[in-house]
Amino acid sequence: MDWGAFIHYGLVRWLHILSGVMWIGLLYYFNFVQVAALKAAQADSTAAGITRHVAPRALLFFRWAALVTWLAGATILSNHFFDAFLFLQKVYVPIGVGAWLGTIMLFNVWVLIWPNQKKILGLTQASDEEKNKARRTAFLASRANTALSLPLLFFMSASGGVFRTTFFGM
Amino acid sequence: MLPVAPEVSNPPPGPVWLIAHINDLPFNAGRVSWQGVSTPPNLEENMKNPLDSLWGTIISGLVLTLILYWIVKLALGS
Repeated sequence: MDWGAFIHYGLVRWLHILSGVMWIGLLYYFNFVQVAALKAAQADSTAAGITRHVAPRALLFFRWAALVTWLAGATILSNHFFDAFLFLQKVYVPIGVGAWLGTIMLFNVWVLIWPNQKKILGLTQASDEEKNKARRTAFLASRANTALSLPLLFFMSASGGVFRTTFFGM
Repeated sequence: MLPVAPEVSNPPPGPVWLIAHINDLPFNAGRVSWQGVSTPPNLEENMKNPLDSLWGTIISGLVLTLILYWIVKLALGS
């Protein structure tokens, strides 16, 4: 048995999918559930339960799952990393588009969503005006990631095997 | 009463003159942007960000998927 290939293309791929499900699952939780729930909770003054106990935990798994997903994906690509990101070989173009979308989404998580969520949740000092600005920026970055997740998942699933043949004829 | 265009002794010499006198011009000419594209009044205030709604977000994602799919398909010649 080729243990290197087993770990590289088996276990790391499994980790990529597991952490990816956690990342995108929590992203959908934020966008499909928490945004509407917070609005309703603010109306009956129960929002503190979500912002104090749920959101920080969800964000913890969300941001680290994002990083693990990206690192596992980069490990799977390994010596084809630049073939994918620079579209050097035709066969790596679909996964390259997916990889770019994932990279943009990772940037949004760590540079736009998390620092602004820290202000919103009171984990770092911020004035009310800064909090309002942070709320809007984090919301739009999260919504942008939700929109980007559709092509991301398409290109991830359409980049190999029978799916690639079906969609791209190669 | 309609605004009156300022009297210009010589024909306008070009975009530099336009930028310098943009606020002296009548009607909505002052809304002409530097690219020369006119913006109808209140259009920007009325435009909504599709990401503000969940359906707008999903539709944006689907449209982006289709666009990227066709770009990649064309690039691959498949």
